[in-house]
Amino acid sequence: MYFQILKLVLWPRKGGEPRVVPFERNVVNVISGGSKTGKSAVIPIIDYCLGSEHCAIPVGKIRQACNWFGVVVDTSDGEILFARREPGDVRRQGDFFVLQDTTISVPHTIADKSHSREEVKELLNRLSGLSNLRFEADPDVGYKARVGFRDLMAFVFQPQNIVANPDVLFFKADTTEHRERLKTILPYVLGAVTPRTLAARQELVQVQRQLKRLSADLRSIESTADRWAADGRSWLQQAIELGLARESRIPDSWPEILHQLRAIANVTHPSVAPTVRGAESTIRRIASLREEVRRLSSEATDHRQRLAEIHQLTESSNQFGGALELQRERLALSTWLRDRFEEQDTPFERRAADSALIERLCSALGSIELQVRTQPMVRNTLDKEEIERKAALGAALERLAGAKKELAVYERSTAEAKAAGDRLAFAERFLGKLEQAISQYDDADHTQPLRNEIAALSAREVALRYEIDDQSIRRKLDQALDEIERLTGRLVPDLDGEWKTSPVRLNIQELSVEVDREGRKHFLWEIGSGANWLAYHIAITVALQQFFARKPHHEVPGLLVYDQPSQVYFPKRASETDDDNSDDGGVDWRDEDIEAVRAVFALLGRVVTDAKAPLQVIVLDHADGEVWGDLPGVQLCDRWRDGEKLVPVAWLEED
Amino acid sequence: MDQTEHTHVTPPPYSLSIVEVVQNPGLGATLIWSATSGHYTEVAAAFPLHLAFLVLPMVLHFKTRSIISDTYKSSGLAKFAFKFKGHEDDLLAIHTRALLLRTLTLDSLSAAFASNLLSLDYTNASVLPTRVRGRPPQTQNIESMLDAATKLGHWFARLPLRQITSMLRVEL
Repeated sequence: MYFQILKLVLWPRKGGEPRVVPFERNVVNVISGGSKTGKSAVIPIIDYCLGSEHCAIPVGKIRQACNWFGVVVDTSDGEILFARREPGDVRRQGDFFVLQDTTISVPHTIADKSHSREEVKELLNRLSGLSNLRFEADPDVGYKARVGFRDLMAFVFQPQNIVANPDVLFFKADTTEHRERLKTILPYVLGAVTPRTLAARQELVQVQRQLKRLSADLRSIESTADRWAADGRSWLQQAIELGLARESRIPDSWPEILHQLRAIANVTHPSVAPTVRGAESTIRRIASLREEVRRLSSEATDHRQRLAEIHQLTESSNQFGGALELQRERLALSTWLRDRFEEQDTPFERRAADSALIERLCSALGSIELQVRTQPMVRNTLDKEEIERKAALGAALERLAGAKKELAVYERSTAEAKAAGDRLAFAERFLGKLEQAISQYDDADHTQPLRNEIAALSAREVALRYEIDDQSIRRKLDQALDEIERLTGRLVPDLDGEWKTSPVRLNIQELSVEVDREGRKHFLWEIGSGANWLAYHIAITVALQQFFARKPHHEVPGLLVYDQPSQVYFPKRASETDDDNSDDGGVDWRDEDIEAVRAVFALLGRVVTDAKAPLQVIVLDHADGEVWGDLPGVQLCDRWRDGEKLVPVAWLEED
Repeated sequence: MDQTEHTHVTPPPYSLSIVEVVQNPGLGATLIWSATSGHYTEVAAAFPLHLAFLVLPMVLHFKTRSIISDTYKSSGLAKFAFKFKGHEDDLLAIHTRALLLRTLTLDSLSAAFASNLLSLDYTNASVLPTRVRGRPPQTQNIESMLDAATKLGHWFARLPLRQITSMLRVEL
């Protein structure tokens, strides 16, 4: 996913110009700074602005000085500013201000919120092109919910406490909930589970539900009633109309209806006189059935039309990750108006005598369209919509069939009644037919259509099971892991790890890497030395990005942010987070340490330069130009030393 | 099935038939004018002509209009678009309807120009309302359409064109 950070923005609480930290596209951006300059706030600020649940920006000067934080991001849908209010004492601050345009100029102040956190997450989900289907159809299993943009942050950020952590490989994978989520989504992110698999899983649940219902229907004759009951009710209605039965409530269940019909058929009726009230109630029933048929037909038509539109979009649009890059006729007012004007079909000529005005209007429209069109077509995922429309259409059609059948019986019999003329003869004929129908019912195997339906559904179930076959998912997953192992193998030799030729494999169950050394596999936490941990963290995060880049429009942002990768090489005094008091770039580096850290920067520079898809890297580090200078693909974006910090000192001074 | 068991939404009374709507540039003119006046109240600026072509597709469609009516003016277009979560095909249909209603919009605009409700700025491809108040009382149904159009105008005024088209999945 094309997603690069152009600016980090802080708005001062006491007014004035916002602080803007600019970034370059497709390079390794280095922010080099001493301790306590705000380096470690950068990842939490970006994460917070991209919709994290909690604010992890350290409490203290930064939060006291700022009232809004923001990032300007370049996406395939134009530039977007995501700004979010400083949370203050509120645990969950959901006020966002989102601005989207071809290019964004940072507003001087943020007036008010425009979006909620949920709306921002939805926008980011859409940008990433992730499928909107759940992993499991059971909504109670939280970590099986749809993959969201937020989940993808695991492959983007490596904060200071993770970047060389032997126990935790991914951002936020230190909590059980996030670990479970990651294990669930990895097969999707690695392409072993596709949107199609998810759709098949959802449909399978529906098919199984339907099968269960129909099988129950089959077991109990009670439920085949729907079709028979519709007939039976109209028989009863006519019997009342013909005076063959006393008017009473017509029962709903088939056995009761059958019982009443048998009673009518078995009694000889000396006088058969239709009653007016009976006829009226038939007419009422017909009217209400007709209304129902009309309504259900239009409902079904509506669903059908929408499904057709979805299919048309699916077929005519380019696949963009899991989403569609929609290919639709544009509104194109400029050309449309011009054509109409040429055909003398526009009302404007009454107001504009000459065509110069129209031409002026069309070119104004055209230039606006051109500006807006600098981006590709909009994208959407419609997996969920398609499945739900299908289900709704099925339900509507089922109800429609029932109503139509009942109506047909009524309409037939009223037509016959008219034709018969002789009420008495009709009543006798009616009784004759009724007896015939009852005996037909007794003889017929009226479960046949149901059996056919069950057979068709069972066949569909088999087909769906085949599509979501666990073995084939496992196979695809193994292939992906093989590929990542191969990519990692090309990176590790260039880093400062001890075992440069040992294969390194991502283990999804443990969310760690396994290093194969002389036939024995060792997890990351079983291997010693910070240098090794850092090397594997860098190698695996980069290899994953390289793997994602192989699929056109992969959902994971092509972005990596590392905080203090050089910390493992610091003399102990300086490696203690940002809390020590020395505001120095003057750490005494040993030559071999400089070499080791430089290797990391060199590798990252090479990776962005050779990347198959746009990739941006941001590194926040103590190390200065002496360590990473003159490396291709690596450039300084900001230097926080000698009083320069993330938050301007003036913001912190008492007025 | 008993009649009282119907759970579907019946269209509101006095609803105009499709034919009446299509043949009614007068109504269209009033609706587009309402949107421009809402827009003008918010930012005192001209209304982009492109957006005029989105008013009827959004306001004449009952389901879409209901969502506009059920969203606070203060919430804005983002909230409106968010309400299509899970049935985004309904949101994508705005573009489809915009194509179908291009001619009606154009006829409505000319009616609005002819009656001096709106004036057209050829150079900037935008329209301005000649006044922002004084709409005559209408039937309840038309009233709700006008309110929805006015609200749309307010929402459009708060966002760049690029963001509106992206939110509504409309391609110019």
